[in-house]
Amino acid sequence: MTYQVDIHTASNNFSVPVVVDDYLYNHASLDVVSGSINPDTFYSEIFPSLAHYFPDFCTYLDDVLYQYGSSEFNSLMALINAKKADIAQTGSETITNTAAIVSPVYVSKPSDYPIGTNVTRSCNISLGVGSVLSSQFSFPGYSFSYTVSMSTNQSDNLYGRYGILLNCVLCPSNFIANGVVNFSSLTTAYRYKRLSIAIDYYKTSGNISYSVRTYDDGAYTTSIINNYKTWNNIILTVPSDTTDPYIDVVGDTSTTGGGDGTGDFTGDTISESSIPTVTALNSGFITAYAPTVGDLNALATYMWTSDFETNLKKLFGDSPMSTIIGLGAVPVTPNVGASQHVILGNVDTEISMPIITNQYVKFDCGSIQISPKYGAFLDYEPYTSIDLYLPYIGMVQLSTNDVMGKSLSVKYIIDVISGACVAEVLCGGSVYYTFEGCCLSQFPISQDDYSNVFHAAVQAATSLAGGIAGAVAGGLTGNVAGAVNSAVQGIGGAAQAAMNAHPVVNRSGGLAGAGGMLTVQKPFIVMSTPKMVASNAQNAFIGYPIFATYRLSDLSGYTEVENINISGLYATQAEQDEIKMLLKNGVIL
Amino acid sequence: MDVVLMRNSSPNNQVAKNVDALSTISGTLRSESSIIDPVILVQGDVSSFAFCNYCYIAAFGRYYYINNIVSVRNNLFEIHAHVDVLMTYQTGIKNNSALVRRQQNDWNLLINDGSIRTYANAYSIPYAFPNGFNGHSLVLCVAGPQTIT
Repeated sequence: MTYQVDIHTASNNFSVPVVVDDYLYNHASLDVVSGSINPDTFYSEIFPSLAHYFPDFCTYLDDVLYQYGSSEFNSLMALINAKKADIAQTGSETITNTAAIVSPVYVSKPSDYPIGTNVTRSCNISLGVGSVLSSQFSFPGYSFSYTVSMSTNQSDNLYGRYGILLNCVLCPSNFIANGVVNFSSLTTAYRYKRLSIAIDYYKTSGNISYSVRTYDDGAYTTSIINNYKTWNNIILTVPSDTTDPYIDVVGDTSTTGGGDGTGDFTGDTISESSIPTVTALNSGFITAYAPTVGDLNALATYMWTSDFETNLKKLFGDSPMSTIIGLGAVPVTPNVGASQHVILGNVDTEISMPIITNQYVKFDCGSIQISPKYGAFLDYEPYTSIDLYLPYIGMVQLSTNDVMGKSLSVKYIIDVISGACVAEVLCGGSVYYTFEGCCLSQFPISQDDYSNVFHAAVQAATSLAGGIAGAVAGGLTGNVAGAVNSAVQGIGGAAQAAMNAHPVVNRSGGLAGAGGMLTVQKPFIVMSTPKMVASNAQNAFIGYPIFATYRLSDLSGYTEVENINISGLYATQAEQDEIKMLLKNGVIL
Repeated sequence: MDVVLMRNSSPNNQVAKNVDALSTISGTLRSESSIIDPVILVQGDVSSFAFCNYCYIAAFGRYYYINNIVSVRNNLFEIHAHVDVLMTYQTGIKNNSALVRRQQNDWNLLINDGSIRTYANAYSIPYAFPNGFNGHSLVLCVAGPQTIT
């Protein structure tokens, strides 16, 4: 697509047409060559860009440079010199600057030189009518010259700048001075054609910057070349397409669009959770111990003595077990403080147990690296699946796209009172999944429903602020359990949140807790991935997929073309069709 | 016209073919013959071109596959040929850029175009995390604070 590019300089504002398409985008940052450039590499590296934008000019340059690469270059020059006499006999312009044409051009890439250093290498090929190559040039009476030069003297903020400056001029040989076309010395009129070829382009962060040198294309006019212009640092911003190609279709409501995404695929890191600071243990209505088996035996013996039972019945009516909210086992070691006597109601059992100081425990299962097996599409969905086993939760399926190539970590947060557990699955350090379960294995100690008792107790805690004074007064003169229940109304959100987590997980996970205790206690993944058929030298017979744009001379071996717009061939239409068909079917380059 | 008889040892889909020039013979283009699929009348001993499968005709500037050799009469043969566009236009072809679908040396295996096959028996591989739960702790939960009022 051709865009009118507005160019603003210190003294002039004007616009020029510039062809911008994917090709220019792809080649705007032209990595010329590693090391040096000679006519062969010039042909292979630079010529494609020029040919794309200046096909008329390159038709001629193509013939010369292709057919006479660097190895043939000196021979070519010898032929030209040998034909000088013929040129003179035809009355054409003679070539006098032989010194400039004896050596191939070698131009180093700009990065070889510090910014601010002028680097100019040049070579001139001068040809004339009457030489053996006259058929390649259709400008009778004039010689042909081109200059390749390269400069890094623009010390602006160029990023990865690679520039090529190519001047092409059809001119008499005395146009050339010291191997370079000398414009400034011109004082007489010359015929010339298509002189406006000089472009130096590079790409910086989405914009294409040009440094364009040109002078008017005087098609066989006679004038003094005095309107040579230099435009530097032209910023070209590709405008959005405002043309709707569907507008002519009656009743069609299609519109153009798309392709306007941000292109930003960075996201945020979701950090793992921290342990809650508000717990049921803080309420004072619940106390948890981490007893040993011996401690429990001693407590059971004590509880079922007649004295104890008599005392408790005075306080709780039916059963001494009403003071015990729950007994169970969790797969982690709770944080405990010093051992204290177990107090049941208002009775000191004088049996000491370590008291649990924090309701929540964090457990890190470590991490494993999920590495691709093939470095191919087979490593991803839907071909590869990854299942994750989490103790006390079960088997879950992960998205392979989420985890492939990343470190996979599993971290549990466990509520040792309710048994609720949440496993956070981190991919590459960020939380991608959370799964909940129950890891408490309850031990039956009475016929009371564990959940109901616990629920009532914690609800009492959550409503402490609303009715603590009356509750304490009533409780001390009558039924403590009733006092607890009557105190329910309102301590606040955090304790309530802890409460909410319990019934959801504990009810559904109660059995899972007991069952989970009997199964594998370590997380693991099961990766199911296809077994690839790796045929020997498959790439030599049918290749491997690439789907990218290449200049075919840059490739070797088996190549299948998706599509090609053949240009520059003088083949018949039938031959071009056959070429296209063969390239699509696969050729060996 | 001169026909350079050759022997081509390369696969037909190879752009730059390895050919051995054997001999040059003179022939005439049969009437109503095309430059794409020429039929050339040549005279001579059949042994001089019976083992050739390729030729170059300078007058046409093209390389040709020899598809068939037909005897017309004694020592007069028809060479049926078809242009080898790859060899003939190899330089021009290589100057073009194309969207390449598959390649022998440059590839991106994250693209699935159906050219990579898999066996039916897939791998199923377990990997364990380094740490797991080890042992259990008893938890006794009772109502009330740890003070006697």
